[in-house]
Amino acid sequence: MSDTVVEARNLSKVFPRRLLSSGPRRIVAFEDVSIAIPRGSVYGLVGESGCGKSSLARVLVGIDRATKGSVLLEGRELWGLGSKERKTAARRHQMVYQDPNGSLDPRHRIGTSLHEALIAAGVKRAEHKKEVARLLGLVRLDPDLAERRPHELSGGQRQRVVIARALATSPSFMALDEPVSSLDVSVQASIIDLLMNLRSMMELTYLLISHDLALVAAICDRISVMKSGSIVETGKGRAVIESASHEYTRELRDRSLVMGGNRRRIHGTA
Amino acid sequence: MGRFIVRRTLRLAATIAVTVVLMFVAMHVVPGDPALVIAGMDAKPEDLRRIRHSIGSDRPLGEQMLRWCGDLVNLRLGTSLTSGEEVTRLIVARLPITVSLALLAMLFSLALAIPLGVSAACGRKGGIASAIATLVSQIGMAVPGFWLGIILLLLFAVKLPIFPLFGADTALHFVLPSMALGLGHAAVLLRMTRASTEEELSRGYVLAARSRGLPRRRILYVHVLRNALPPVIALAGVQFGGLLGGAVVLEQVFSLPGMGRLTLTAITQRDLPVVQGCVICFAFVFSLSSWLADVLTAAANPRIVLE
Amino acid sequence: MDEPLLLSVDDLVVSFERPVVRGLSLRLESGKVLALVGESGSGKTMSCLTILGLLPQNARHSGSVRLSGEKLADFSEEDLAKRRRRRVAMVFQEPRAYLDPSMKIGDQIREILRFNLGQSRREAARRCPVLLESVGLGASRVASAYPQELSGGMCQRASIALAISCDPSLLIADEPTTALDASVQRSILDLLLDTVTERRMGMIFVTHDLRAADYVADTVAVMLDGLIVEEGKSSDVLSSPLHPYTRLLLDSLPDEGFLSRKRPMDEAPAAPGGCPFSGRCPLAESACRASLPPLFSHPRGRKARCIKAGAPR
Repeated sequence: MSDTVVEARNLSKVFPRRLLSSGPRRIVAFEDVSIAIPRGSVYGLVGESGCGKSSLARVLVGIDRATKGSVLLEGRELWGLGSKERKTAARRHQMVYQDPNGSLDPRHRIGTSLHEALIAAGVKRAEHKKEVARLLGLVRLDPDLAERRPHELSGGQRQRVVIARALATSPSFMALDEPVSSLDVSVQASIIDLLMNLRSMMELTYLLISHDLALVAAICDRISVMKSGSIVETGKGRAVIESASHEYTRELRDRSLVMGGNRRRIHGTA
Repeated sequence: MGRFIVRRTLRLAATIAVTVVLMFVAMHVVPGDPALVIAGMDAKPEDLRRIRHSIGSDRPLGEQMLRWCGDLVNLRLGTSLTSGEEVTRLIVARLPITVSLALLAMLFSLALAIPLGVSAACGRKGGIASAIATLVSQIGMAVPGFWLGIILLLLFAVKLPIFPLFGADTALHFVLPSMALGLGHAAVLLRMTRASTEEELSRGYVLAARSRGLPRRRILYVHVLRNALPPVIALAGVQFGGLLGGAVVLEQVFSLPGMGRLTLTAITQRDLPVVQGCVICFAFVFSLSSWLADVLTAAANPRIVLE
Repeated sequence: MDEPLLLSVDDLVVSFERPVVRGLSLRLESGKVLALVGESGSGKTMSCLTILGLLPQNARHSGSVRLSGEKLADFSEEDLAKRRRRRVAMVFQEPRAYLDPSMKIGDQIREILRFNLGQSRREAARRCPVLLESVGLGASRVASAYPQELSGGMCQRASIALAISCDPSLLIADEPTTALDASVQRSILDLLLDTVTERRMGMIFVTHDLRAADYVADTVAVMLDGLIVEEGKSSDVLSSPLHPYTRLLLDSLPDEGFLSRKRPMDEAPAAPGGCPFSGRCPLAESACRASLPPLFSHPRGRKARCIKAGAPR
């Protein structure tokens, strides 16, 4: 087994301009990106909205295709495989999106959504009931919740279900796209705790995509900072943020809020 | 905006082109010799040859299609097999009546649907506006236009001689038919208006506008309706085709000398050139009305243009 | 003190089918910032809407809200609208959702100036760019842009411009930066603080993120399940919280020690009739579940609704 779970080499996704549309000459989602995600690590991809981090993640997981460059899963070129092999490989790499309402079918009960995931994972129908209960248990949800519909659950519970669904295929790699951005702060912490727990329990590797520098600095082993489709800096965890050799990283760091350091006072009253 | 109009016009042209080709294909794919249909089963071969030559069905298909397109562009729609009049002239005489009827019916349905729909959306859940709207909506959907037309005639032209019984001479002649035609469509527009307005009222910018102390009226008329009405207008534009079709039926009820009667008569008499001419005409009017509805909607709500 | 408090709320209760605000009391002076900290379902947004008189029709409420001494309940809808125009304004959470998508930014501003301040078209046209400039949107193309053509941060600045256009004395900001990128948050907070300082306004800043509260607030009130559970000067509350829930909110912040801190793993439902935090509290005991603690007073003007929060007065 290779040490690198996912690797991108000179990856680009560039769209030419459409006929009859007003806009820039070409649309660049990301360009010439090379990153290597070590096994068992939490890799952070941080940048402002629209910098291309989500597009990049989708390509790394195999959902979208790049226009240039290669994606290697476990050392093997993803798009060099036959379609059946590629599908099997892609199953081991899952994606978790920001929750709101889009990720779960509002008409289906939770149990049904998980059933669908299990079918896609190739699990035998006879095993499904047991598996659904196991998956819900992994994300610390009451198995009775399988009967409810998404709108009956809180934001945090929904996000746990989305994680459970991603675990149905027993993945080795998960891309987490803003997994906690829309949640309350104590719920954010509990989801992060759950994810870190699952990582050690199930030997997972994570790609965490976020606009929150503080979050990424707090839990990632390696971080890449992205701006307008390019990686500007890559390095080891918190150190990248603290030393901030690139000016953009410095800018991001200076703009983030920290407790205690920078209180503003009105009228100088204490 | 200019680019938007160009795109929509291209779409219009494409629709018409496809319609023309489809019409041609339909006519020539259908088995049977039109000459035989025209002349009857026991026609003599020379007569059939003569007829085929006169309608040009003895030429190769490609040439026929080109001739057909050329004729259309020059508004040469042929001559009626029954009356010998030019089809174009026949249509030009009748089209205004049908289009006027459809337009008036459209105006009537909008005038009924929009105020009712908006009041129902703004009022309380079980309030009176809501009840009236539901009632009108149910009646409009359940009652067929021709039946309503007959009833209206009975009540307001026979029992109470307010409106005239037949003909298309004055504006009064159009009142009852446009109401009969418009009510069904009003019902659908009403539901759409109500749903769309309710949705807009629940949006954040309405709360924000209220928080700034803007008068309720202004919020409703300027902000809410500008966002709620475009889908209604778009739907009305699409419905116009249905109104044209409904006009055909109601012209029979109210004895209006419009396209409807012309088309129906021509069909029963197998007057092929007239039928073709009428269908092309309807297709064109319908496409044009869709185009107009799109452009008006975009002008009213520039957000559409950005999409 | 002759001048009445800018805002005083007493025992506010708001209910739909069940109560969402269960007895809220607040005080705010002009020129001060109060952070109302709470997560979803804490009742913080409903409390703000009550102050503006904007509760939905199916809500019932009791208790008193006084704006500069005047009791809100005494007002008709028209009078309330007048007060909304000149006295109190609100900035909402998702900037684009709270701006009319079919109207240009400049038009929306000029509309407010004309309707609320009675300015003529010419005056409004003159004032509009000045107002936009004051919120950092001086570029001319902003006024002729539609909301979806602008970034989230710019839309929020436009919303702030709309809110302050009539010089209100109280500004309520309901999670104004939650929906924005972390990199943009600080500049919006700076704008809010500058505005409030220059115009001597009072501000209620609603948030679930203690870092933002720390940045802007003089006093902090923490809400949970419709009740205030802790209250006090922000420097006190955020450095040494008395209530375990405030402690949890602090422990949830992603900073250096995040991974090493212990947090409750699961959420059990709180005991009805008891402390709203009893489901998750590491210090919870049977007394906590049995009855709802009152808001105990502590030194330095602090309050905490917890029987385990140090020695109450």
